[in-house]
Amino acid sequence: MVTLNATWGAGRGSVLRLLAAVALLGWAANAGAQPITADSASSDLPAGYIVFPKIVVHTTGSPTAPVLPGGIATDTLIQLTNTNEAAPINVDCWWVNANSHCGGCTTGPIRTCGSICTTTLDCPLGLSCVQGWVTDDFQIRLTPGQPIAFTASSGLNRLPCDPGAQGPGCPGSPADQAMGTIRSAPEDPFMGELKCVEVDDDDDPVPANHIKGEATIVSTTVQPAPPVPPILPGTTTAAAYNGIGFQADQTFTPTQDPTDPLCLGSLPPGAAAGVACNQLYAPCPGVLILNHFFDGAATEIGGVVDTELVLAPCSEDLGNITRSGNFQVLAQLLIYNEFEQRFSSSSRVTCYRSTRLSDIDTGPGPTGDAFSIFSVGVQGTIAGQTRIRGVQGAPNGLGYGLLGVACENYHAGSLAGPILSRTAFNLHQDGFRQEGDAVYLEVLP
Amino acid sequence: MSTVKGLRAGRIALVLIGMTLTAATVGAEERFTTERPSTVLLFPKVVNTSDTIIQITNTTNLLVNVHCFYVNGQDVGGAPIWQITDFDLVLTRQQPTHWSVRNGRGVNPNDSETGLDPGLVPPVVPGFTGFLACVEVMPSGEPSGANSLKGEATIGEVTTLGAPGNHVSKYNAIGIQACGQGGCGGGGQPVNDDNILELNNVEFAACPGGLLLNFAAENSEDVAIGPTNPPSVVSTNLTLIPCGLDLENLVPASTLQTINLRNEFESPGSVSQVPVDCWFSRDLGDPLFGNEMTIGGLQTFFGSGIIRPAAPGQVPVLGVANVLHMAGDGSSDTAATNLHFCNEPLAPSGCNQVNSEIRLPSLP
Repeated sequence: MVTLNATWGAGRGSVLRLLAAVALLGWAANAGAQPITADSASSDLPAGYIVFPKIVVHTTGSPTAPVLPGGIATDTLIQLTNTNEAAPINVDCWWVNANSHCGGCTTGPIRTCGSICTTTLDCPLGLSCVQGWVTDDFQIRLTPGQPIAFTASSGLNRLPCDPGAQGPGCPGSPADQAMGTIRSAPEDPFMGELKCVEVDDDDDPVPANHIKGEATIVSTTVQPAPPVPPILPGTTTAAAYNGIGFQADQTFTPTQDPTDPLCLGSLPPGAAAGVACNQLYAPCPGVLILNHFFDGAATEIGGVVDTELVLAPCSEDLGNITRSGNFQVLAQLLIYNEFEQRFSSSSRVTCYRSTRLSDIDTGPGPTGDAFSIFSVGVQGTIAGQTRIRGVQGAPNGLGYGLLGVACENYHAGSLAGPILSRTAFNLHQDGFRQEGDAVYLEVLP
Repeated sequence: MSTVKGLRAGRIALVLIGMTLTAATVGAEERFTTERPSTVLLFPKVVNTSDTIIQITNTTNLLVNVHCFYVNGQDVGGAPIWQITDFDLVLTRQQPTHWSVRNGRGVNPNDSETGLDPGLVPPVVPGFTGFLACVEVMPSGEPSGANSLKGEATIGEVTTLGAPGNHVSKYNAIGIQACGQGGCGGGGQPVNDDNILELNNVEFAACPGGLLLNFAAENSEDVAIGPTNPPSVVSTNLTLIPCGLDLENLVPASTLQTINLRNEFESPGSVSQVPVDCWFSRDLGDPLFGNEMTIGGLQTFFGSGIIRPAAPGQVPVLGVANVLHMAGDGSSDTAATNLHFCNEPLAPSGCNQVNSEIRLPSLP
């Protein structure tokens, strides 16, 4: 779908000219494409490939930095459902670990990493905090219509309906039973993504759309075990969003070559000779649209609010850490306040970016936040709209589309105060990326 | 025809041809959506028991006019009062705006609400529980089909550390996209200028055949809190409105729904004849659901459900889920999610799209 608002402030005449050009280009580029059922990624329909861009874990069980009583523990609950009421489905999932480590990690068969960090200030003198990018996968089978849920910190050793699991068991033959183990997130603390693809018994992606899911990030005060009295006042926050789904083109014939990528829209330019689409899915959004309150705003519902934005590339090479870890997309942001005044900024998304809005143009931490174009003091209005699109930076064979979710934090008193409540929501989107994006899966032995 | 006009007409024709061909080849699907700009926005849960902040944005570079309707579904004497209050907004290009439903928003450049005031937004009455519908219109009042609007609702209240009611949840407005020429799978036509918005995949997208709900069993332990802050509990509030409105004759929309359930062991269950009368908001432990979705009835921590019309002729519903997470120390928060749409017509899902309409008040 080509929309009028893809013109970024053009006049009416140029809107028409641009529309004509884009429409004709779109037609020409799509002349040989297969039809798809949704015109870009969607978080409100079941899909064949689903992404949870924001998974956060920091619990009392962390081997390196356990949360102590009185501290705030965080975990993410993931709900997945097979919407196929008639048949079981197989699902391959990947944790994408975007933790940063002091001094980074070594490569090679035995991988060692420094301690987990947020900024270089967390590291010993002489070591910098380096963002990583590692994947860890698991495979499961869900019975017809089966809903499951698990926390990222714990995973699930055996699924309900697994013949070895406790419980009443499920109808159907042994081949129809659930199976597999859901690995826990690879580190604690953890920050990153979860991606799941509907596959067949040979792990090849299938042209079907039966996965839906939600993620809920829950934080709560760690209370000491009785008889120690509870630490009061405690806080609990919860923020939920829907997994972002890419609907598979059900008329497409998969190549079933595991080295071929999942194509989002089409195969991006620059792919190696002989590479084709293993499976075709709906394309990445052209523009992400975030409605937000400016950081530091005191809204009518109370508290002082700031917004965290998570951006991740649509394209990834899940089996090639180096290729994906060095993959950088430049995100261009247009910001409008309630006076219709426009500002712009840009930000690098190096495989994964989770940031407060004010830190996009002022650097990490509270220093300088009052001077950010995302600050309520600078903008002068409570609400704003930010339009985000990836503009460049993809290596050959990968596209530069972006996905994201947003999370609002409501603080007591000021932005330095404790977080009293939190909420998350899916970003809106406009148009789709004609150039296509690619997700190369890990080739399993 | 002048040369300039001729060139312009030719250019527009070129655009239309290009757009039609593009739509046909990529299969553009104007539909009910929670993430794409639309012509109609529905905010199913708007309350003044705590406050609700509405955010609406014009995502285009053209000025748009919007006609909004608060519908009060407050229960008085066992029936919704179905009171409607309407107002108009004007949004300049790309303009975001917001207001609190408790306070409304005046047109006063000197008040504390900075930014271009979009129009006079009245406050709702104390105790208001209902929904908000906003329709993009032409300056003269007829419906437009430009799909320019997006919106969010933020429900809750934040006071001080340790206070019991620090709850904020947010969901995206449900958008109904106008089909446009060749849209909605190919059969779309431009929006006509009458006061009836036909949800039929010709003028506007047809209603989804059902809703998909993932839920935690009512009153079960919150597994994400678990032993960290025991004992915890989780409770889900489900808000539903009928897919279709008669704002001209003030006829409260009413429909019956069936919820087919599965627990984690694939065991089926169902709740039949759920009446959605104007505005429906119940916890999953409500007696209406017959204990089917509580931890005692479901017998697993999580379940899924498909909400569909109970019989042919009944319209489907639209809705959001708002989940309360409460920890052992008494602290709690809520988290809202938009429900997924079910459009799979094949059995056993059987989610067939349904035609309906939104009837606006006639223009004088």
